[in-house]
Amino acid sequence: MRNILIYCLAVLFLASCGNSSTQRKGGNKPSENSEMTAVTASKIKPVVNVYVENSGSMAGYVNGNTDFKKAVYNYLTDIKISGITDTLNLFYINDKPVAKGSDVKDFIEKLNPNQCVFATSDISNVFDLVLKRTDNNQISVLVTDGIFSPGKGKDAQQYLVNQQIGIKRIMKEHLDKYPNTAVIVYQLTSGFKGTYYNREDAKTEFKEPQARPYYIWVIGDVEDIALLKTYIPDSKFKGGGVQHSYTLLPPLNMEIDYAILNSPKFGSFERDKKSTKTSIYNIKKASNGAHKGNFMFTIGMDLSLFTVLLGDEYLTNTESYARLINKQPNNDYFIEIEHNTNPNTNYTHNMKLTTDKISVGELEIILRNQFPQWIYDINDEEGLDIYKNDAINKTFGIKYLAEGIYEAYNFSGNSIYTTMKFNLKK
Amino acid sequence: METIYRWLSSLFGSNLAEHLSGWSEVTGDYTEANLFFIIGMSSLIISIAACVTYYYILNHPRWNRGFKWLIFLVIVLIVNFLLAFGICYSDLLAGNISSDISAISVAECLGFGLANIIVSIVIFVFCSLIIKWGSRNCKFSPFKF
Repeated sequence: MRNILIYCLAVLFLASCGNSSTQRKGGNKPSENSEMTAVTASKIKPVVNVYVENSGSMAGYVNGNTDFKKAVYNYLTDIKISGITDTLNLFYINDKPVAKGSDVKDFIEKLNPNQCVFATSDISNVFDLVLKRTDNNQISVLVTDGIFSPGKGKDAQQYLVNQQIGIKRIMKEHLDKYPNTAVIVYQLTSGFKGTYYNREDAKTEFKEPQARPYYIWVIGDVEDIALLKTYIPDSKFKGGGVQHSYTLLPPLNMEIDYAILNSPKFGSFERDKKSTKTSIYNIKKASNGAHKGNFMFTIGMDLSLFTVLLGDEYLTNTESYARLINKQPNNDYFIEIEHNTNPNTNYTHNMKLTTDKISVGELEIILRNQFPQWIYDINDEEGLDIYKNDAINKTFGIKYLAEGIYEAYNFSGNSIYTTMKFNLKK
Repeated sequence: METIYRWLSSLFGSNLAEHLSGWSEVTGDYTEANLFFIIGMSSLIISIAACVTYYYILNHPRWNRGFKWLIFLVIVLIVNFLLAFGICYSDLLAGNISSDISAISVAECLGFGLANIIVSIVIFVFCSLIIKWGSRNCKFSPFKF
């Protein structure tokens, strides 16, 4: 009925005017930002070098059939069968790398406390060794408990700061040489049975397996890392799975598909017909109801590529986004991020922006490199009593290691992954 | 045409205005038929046609009084109201409104019908003032009662 009515009317005035009434600037369907097309494969398959730290503090993780072994075995197997690489080399590492062939099964079977022979580990040195053996066609995987070992009688705080500075320098030198380097850190948990060494190398014996955190660091060219994350997402990890992850990417400033949605919203606005997706005017707060006095609008964002690279935990954290109005930091708009459940659009995430004070101008929302809270939460600052302050579930000094790498990435001040620009007018 | 209706958007709300502008959720743009234009042009043609009929086709001394002109105006208003309301309401019933446009009710459809009445009054009065001078018998209508 409605179509017949419109058809008749259209015929009526088209015949009169001889012109189309419905010509409009054609809208583009949101681009198919396929993960697999964006994550392009490297022309040459990278070499994957796997380093398992074999200091004495690692012995407890490899004592028996632990989650540590299951996770590492599964991860390395996934790397091998994914076809990402043709060459996978295995090493123990402490003061130098020791080659252990390329047979993953054999490597895991032989991984036992007797292999963890070194009393201490210099994490900064381990990173130096790994990075020096990583170029833009190599992926390095470092498996470590990440615990610093200052030793008895040392100023632990000074030691940690020095290690952080050392790691920052090493990482910055590597980034200068290979600016497309990306780093992932996975935090996992495994049963730990054996001797725990505190910062003064005092021993605590765990006779029964006790859940302890450990880390898998993956370093390589961003394209290779993206491919790796596409084939082996966090959800594929076994042995208790990934508890947290954090990816550091080179400054990408990639363009993504985004737009202001019609709903949900409080209040009203009109779209600028010259820029329908990003420009609105005549913005008004809700004049009645529960949200009276507030204005809220929603942005749809296709973050599919970043979901692969950075993980959903990172993307749904509001701290990962900076807001600028007319180039100045501005937090007048409170933001919330949720998954897009509307099947009619290609957006992966929606961002709601709510305010009781409408600020107008050019609004920029920047997805940036943001140091994650979970690393602060899992950091053990003291490294003395394993039973105090939940230290058993934490890692002594891990934040210094991560901050060293983070600071190297942010040294030049450019930590922007993508920028979304909007125009808000009165 | 859309701009004129937008001046009256308080009668029917910004959500219905989005639909009438041709908003498509799938493309994220105004790629559907612009109903403001369709309804506006139709109302314009109907109003002009009624004016021409009154002044030049009917054009009879018995119809040259103001209240006879008013009858034509009322007919035009009823037709144009039904046109505007009918299209909106049928879209509402058929679920043709993009799912991201929320809170459209019959009241908004009636509001748009009312907005079209206002637009039609203006068109009909202007048209009458312009073309009445060529009419042999009705040139003083609607000011002659």
